[in-house]
Amino acid sequence: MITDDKVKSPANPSSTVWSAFRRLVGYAGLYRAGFMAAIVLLAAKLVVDIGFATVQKLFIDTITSSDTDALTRVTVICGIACAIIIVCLIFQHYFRFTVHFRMAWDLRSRLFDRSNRLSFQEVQSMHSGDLSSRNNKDVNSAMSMVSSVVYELFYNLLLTLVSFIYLARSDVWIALLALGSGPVVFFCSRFFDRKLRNLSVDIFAREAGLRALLQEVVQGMTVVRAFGMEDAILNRYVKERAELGILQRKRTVLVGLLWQTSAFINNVVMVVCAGMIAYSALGGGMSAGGVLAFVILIGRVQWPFVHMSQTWGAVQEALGASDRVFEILDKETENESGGERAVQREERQKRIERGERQAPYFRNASTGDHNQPALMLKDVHFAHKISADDPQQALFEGLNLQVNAGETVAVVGPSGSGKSTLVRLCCGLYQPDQGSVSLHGVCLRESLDQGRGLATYVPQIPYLFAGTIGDNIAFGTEGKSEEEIRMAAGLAGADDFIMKLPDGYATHIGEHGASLSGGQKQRIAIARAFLREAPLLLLDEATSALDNETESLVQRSLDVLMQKRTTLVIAHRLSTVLDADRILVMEKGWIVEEGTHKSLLEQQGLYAKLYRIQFQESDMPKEAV
Amino acid sequence: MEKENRHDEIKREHAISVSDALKRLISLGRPYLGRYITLCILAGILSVSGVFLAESLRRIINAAVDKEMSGLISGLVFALIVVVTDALGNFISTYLSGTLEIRSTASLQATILSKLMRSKTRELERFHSADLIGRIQDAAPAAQTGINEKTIQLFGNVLQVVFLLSYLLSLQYILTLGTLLICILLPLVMVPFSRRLRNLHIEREKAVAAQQSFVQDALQGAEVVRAFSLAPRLGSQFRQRLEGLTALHTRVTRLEAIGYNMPFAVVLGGLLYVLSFGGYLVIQGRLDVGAVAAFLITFDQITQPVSRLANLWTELQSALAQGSRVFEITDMEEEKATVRDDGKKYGEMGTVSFEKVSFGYGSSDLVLSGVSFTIEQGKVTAFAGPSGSGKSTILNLLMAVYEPLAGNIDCDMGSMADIPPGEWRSRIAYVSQEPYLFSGTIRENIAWGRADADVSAVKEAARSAGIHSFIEGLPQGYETRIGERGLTLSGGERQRLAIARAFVREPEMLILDEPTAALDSQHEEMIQQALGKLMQGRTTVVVAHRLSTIRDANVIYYLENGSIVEAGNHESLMAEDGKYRAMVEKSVHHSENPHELAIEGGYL
Repeated sequence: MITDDKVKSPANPSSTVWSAFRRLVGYAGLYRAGFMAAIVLLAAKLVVDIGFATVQKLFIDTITSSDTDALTRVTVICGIACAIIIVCLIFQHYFRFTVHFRMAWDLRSRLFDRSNRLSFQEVQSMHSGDLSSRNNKDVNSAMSMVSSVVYELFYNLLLTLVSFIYLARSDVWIALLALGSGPVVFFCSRFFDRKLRNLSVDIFAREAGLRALLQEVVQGMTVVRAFGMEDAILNRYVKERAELGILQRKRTVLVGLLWQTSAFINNVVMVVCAGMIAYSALGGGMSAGGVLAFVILIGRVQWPFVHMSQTWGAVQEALGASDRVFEILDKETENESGGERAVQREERQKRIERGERQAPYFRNASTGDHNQPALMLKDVHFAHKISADDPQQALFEGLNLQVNAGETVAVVGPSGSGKSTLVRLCCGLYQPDQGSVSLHGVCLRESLDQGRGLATYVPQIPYLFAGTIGDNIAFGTEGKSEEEIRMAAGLAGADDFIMKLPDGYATHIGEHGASLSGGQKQRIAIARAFLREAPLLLLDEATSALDNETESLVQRSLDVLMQKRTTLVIAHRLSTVLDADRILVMEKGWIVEEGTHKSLLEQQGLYAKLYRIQFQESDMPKEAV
Repeated sequence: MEKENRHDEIKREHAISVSDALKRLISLGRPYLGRYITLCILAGILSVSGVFLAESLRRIINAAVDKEMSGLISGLVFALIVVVTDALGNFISTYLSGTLEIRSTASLQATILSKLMRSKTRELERFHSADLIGRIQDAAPAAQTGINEKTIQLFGNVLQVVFLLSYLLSLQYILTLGTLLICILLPLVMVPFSRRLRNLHIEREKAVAAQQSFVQDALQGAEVVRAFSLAPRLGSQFRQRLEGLTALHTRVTRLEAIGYNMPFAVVLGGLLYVLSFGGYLVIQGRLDVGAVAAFLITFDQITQPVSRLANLWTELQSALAQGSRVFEITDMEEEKATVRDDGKKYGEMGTVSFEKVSFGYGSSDLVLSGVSFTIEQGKVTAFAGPSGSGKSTILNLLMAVYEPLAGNIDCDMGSMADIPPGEWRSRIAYVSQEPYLFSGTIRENIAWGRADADVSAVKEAARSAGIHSFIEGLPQGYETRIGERGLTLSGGERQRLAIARAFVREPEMLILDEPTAALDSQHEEMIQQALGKLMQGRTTVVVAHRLSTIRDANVIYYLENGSIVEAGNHESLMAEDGKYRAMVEKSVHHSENPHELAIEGGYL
């Protein structure tokens, strides 16, 4: 079920740690105070790590001087210092994780926004399970890079520096020896970087693949059961999970090697240093406390390198996750054409710098020019692109269409003739490869949001969100009152059944409206369209089964909806076709016939044929039209 | 489907107590006991190496103080051996625990998935699909890793602490006892917080699950989201939810900030104690300076295991919360096993009869109230009636997706209540109005119908469903990949694939839920022929609104409000002048155009 080609190496391998880090840390802009506090409070940790040796030396020297009073005094002072340090560290932890959490959520919320704004074709080429995996999992992993870099790398670097200075004051040569060996530890481990990063991209992709598999299984449980697919699915899951396991084991080996190599080198250096110091102490001139302080301090110069080396490994893994996150963030949204994009990103960056939390996305739908045709397609070329290496055959090659305000146009044709694609082009779900689509003179390529505000699309299968019925109706409009929502529901013939539900408009419907029947879902979708009050209605007539009564209810609501609106409807019902001002007959991406029911029948073409097939096999009472 | 009361039911979650959850969490680790022991022994060896490193440093320093060259060299050699052993041991330990984690997690995940697929539909419906997925993909690893890590940490660290402490005891017992006391007392500070922390964790996981459900809904509704420009609104809802989550998270962080720093306080307190009291002992002449130094270094070694031990309970809270989420699934009531106890094979399904069957979803009203009817072998039985009258429910019962609340379903195999659902379902094929396909190749999708279907069977089925030539026309033919839920295909193509899937299954009973709804007229004719072929010699149950589909049925049941109000064939029902006839006539006359048969349709 899950394609292997999803597992590929980093999409954008050129992104370096630094550039990824800079982008990620940009999200701290809004929480600068907390972020800075977390960094400043790190000083408490530095004091502990550095002061440790000093305090020890102080104690041991006090002990050797056999002064009990001094020992008490030193103890009390140190005790107070420790208490202060602990408090500081508690605050540091608090700030660090709150800020981290908020940054991750800002990134997540951007990613969510961006995924909702990707072009429909782009989204169709990805599995929604993959997208949600990026949102749920990869964001956290990517953001961990900031913590790694700021709190671990930066801190350890600082620690090395301070320790070195401290050490150098006593003995420059030994200090240099300790310092010089540090980078050896660090760079020995860099051998693993590229491998780790690629491995982590693979692992994240595999995890996303598993999530997608599960999503299909859980959502299609009825089919899974009806066809007894359980064992086959379990096998597939176990197999794919095992493949993930192999990758994870590779990672374990790599990380294990990375950690142990650095720890080993470090330990060796430490022992050697201890030996050298002890050797120099043999010649006299160094107190026991001094030797001890030295051994500890060498550790302080050394260990940061070990930590840095290990953290760097974690950063490589995070980089894999951030590649997947940024891949989405860097995709063009529907509204962006090549040139605008750079400008927009700059603006966004500026906004973040100014500390604005949310970009003002929503633009009020303006009315457009009413003297212009309601819908105009000029020389539209379009081909479905399923994936980059598998371009589909062109569907439209120079389609022209004009629908005037107030007109009702019905589209008919065999399946695969391009009816649904036509409608999707008209509301900007697809952008033509060539040519233009404009609504009331508003070109969809140039101002998508504005153009879309002029159209209401009612798809064949209504899509409802888990939430209340009221929310579902009000989706797609801003600031509608409860009365207006009820009014729209009333017009759609939905008010009655909604009011019979225990919580009325506040009733929660399940996933995809699971607690409603097909007809109820359809009427809610129509109520949504009523509330939207857009001049152009794009309708894909439902073919899915509704019983007659519901069907006539739905049909009546649609008839009301079509009044006073320009309508382009994919017709499945004869009455719709008969009521239309104009009928378009489509075949293989071309409009092959056009006219009224009567004139088309007279033409004896495709329409007449389709019409005849339907009636010859039916015993329904025939009636002259 | 009517399940308005889902939400009330969702509230009856947390039924699992802490001790219970802990016990079960531990039981997750039981199969890996051997691995745990190996790892603990390794940890023991490694902890000794810590002592030896301290000892070697003590020797080096003492050699320096005593100005003894040979002691220095032996100390150095000793230290090097320790360092090499330490690195090797650590690597092996990392590898073993890593593979343990991978293996145990994968096996737990598979267990949950298989459990999920065997659980009763009624139980599954309480959860959003994203929530269920999260429990497999996120909660299971968190719980399993939690228990693995914590078990090993517990044993390993206790061992390490024991070793180091006995070494310290050999140096100076009063000093050691004091250290011990500090190590034990300070972490206890966190105990009162742990319950609150756990509850917060549970709440947070729930909020995260809700968030993931929201994201999944939005991503799957991509078309509507764009057509209605919902992005800004969804974005603001997303952020609103975030506010709630942030508040929860802040509370968790606040507690954790204190909890995680407690061990550090132990370390500082301990050091202070060693230095001041040890110093006092040195001044008293009861200890040498080298011993204090060794003490300090050992104490440094001891801090890691001690702080891990101190954090164990706090960290376990999150694993416990995740564990409860997993156990909620493993506790679900299961359907009957697929294999019959006595190993006998079942005969044919034969005629199926419903006797006073009642059913309702969730806690809402009954959808079916005591219906009785028979579905005769080899005949076509149709159900008609307004929406919500219970037609689809009958199909769900026939597929054994639900069990009747009261009444009985019988067939030649016996009572359905005694037949394993898997056995029952192996005899049926289902074609729904909205075909549900899976990502993968076209061949795979058709072959889902029967486990042992080969390529020729798949092609034959495709030919019968009238989609073979379409598939052959695709660049990659049967190996063409279709996207999520087959969204790259048109409605008619999807439906014909679903029908091919039913063909390949060669079922005894065919269950059709408005199967030709999405097809245009040319294809519908083809499909009707194909279905006719498929229906031959098979029992067929069909729910339909198209007259053309139900007119030829042997028996038509007209349902209203969960009861059968009329039964008979088309002619007898039309003659009866009842509701069925009214429905037919109403549909014919309700508009100015008596025939609603459209270019693509064939509606009543």
